[in-house]
Amino acid sequence: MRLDRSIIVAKKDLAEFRKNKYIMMTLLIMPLIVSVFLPIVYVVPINRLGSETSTEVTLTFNITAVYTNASYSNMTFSDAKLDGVTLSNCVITSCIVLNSSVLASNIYASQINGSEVRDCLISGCDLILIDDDGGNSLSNSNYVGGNKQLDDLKDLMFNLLLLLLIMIPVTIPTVTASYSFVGEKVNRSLEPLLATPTTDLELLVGKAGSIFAISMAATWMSFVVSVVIVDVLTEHVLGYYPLPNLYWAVGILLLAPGMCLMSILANVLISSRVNDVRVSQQIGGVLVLPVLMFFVFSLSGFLSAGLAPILIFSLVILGADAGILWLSTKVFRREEILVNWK
Amino acid sequence: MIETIGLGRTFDGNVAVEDLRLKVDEGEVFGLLGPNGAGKTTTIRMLSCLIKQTSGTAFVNGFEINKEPDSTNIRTMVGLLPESPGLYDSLSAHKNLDFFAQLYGVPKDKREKRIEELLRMLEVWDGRDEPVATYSKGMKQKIAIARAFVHDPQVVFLDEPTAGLDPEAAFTVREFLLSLKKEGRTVFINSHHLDEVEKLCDRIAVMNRTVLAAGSPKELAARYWGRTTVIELAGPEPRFAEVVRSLSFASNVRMKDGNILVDLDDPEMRNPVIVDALMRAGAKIEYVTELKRSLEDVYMKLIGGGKG
Repeated sequence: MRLDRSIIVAKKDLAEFRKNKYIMMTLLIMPLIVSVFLPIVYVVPINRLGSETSTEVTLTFNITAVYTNASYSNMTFSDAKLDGVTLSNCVITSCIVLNSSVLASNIYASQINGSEVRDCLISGCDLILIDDDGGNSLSNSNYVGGNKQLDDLKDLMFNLLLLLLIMIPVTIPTVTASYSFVGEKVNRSLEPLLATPTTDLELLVGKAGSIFAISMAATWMSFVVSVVIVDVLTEHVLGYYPLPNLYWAVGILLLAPGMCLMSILANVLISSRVNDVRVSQQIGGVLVLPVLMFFVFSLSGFLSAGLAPILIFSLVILGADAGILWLSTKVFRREEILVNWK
Repeated sequence: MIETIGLGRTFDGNVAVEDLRLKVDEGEVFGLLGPNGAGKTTTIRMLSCLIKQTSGTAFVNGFEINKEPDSTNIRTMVGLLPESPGLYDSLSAHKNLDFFAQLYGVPKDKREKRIEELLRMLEVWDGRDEPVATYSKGMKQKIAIARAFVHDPQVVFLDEPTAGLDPEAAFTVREFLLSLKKEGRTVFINSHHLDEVEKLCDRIAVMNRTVLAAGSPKELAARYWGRTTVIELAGPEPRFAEVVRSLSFASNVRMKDGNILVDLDDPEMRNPVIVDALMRAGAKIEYVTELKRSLEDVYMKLIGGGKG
């Protein structure tokens, strides 16, 4: 496969998109509305709960010792800064705990940031810095004096928001991708295009590439807008900027491109098999249904449960994309496209 | 350069082309004539490797059609003008041509030069940066023709190159094609315009699913009509026709509009004998000429026969 041929096709399609007001409007307006509207809606319960139940914890630190990159067990730490340490069965009071691993310990009136905390009793701590998304695990911990309810709600809302935003890269291609080959047919430009020494795979990759570029540009733009809106609207409640986090990073960098590619390839595949733009778009619209199922599935909490499920799911989607691309080249028939023109 | 050997194509049991046997030499301008549905477009599509044949085969410059890697080689060396211009309306003429030149692998410096050369030759250089959507039908067709030649192909297939063009645009296109004839390029034209084919083509074939006849327009006229001498008399009388009819070499002698028409196999030798016989019979001869048969006559005879 000669990638330069695909890039030539992609550049041509992008030039056509730029000249098409209908496509440009769709590309801009839909993501803009979704990326502004959804975050505003989704932060409302966080802000409400935050204002109702937030716990003010006043911490005073008087650091007298610093422990770095060491392992301790059955120790008592007070007025210390613990950075990169591994602690088990310890008592930690009025400390700053950074990038550490804490197991089966009692933690009081401390600030914990970027640490894994498991099976601990946590009391009177500055809980805003204990965050699943920051890499902490609070499983089986006794969460005293903090706002676990807020943290759980925040996680759920942000994760669902991410999954909803992934609708953007899925739906945008239904307009552009469904037009890809059908549009060429309608223009009667497919015959001279197929007469060139460009292979089926080069054409498919070029067509999909242009749509991917434009869809992901709109998607990432809307992600940036959403992150900014969420951070601005929740910082006063949470005390920090919660996004982006690792979960969102996986969603933005793996799942969104994967879902986008799936939508594109499926729509391009349909576009190469039907004769009418409207039919292509109708079927393309139906294709969004399995994606809605994905959203319903995500409501079960499986995908929003943590990093591993979304990572695995993203990789599965990317694998499926490779399969659809392979299938597309197998069912792409130059001859049928030409002969079956209406 | 192009040879078809029993080439055929069937669509769901309907025969579009069958047992097509053609040979087009290098540098020849070849015309394919036939009624709608005769299989001309299907033939071009098979030869340019867009669709597969269901029987027989063909070679373009020694490469076999629809057989990899030969198909890719054929696509690289062939230029195609389809029935419809099929341009990207939102892009300019220059962008349209540049896109195809890139796909054919023409280097950038050559691309620019070639595009300018073609657009100037076809008299559309001035509008090169305007979106194609703003062009007239004639301009679009010219751009599509330029596209077929943008990679300097050895073989060009043109499907109805002047269809729907006004006389001026058609003239420009014809002049362009005639200028290319001098370059020694092989050009294969499908057309309904018989006079245009007669002007442009070295040889033609008339087809209706299969080849009914092939040769130069003159050869075909002679082959299917023979040669007819027209004798215009000052005072036409039926008895003068009888005089001609009495000559053993004269066949199909008839009177039409006061003229005597007679089919001869060798007019140069027989005409003086006829003139002499008529003058001896008292006829006043105003002129003697040969009846010109147009390609249209040949076409109608072949297609009429083909249909029958």
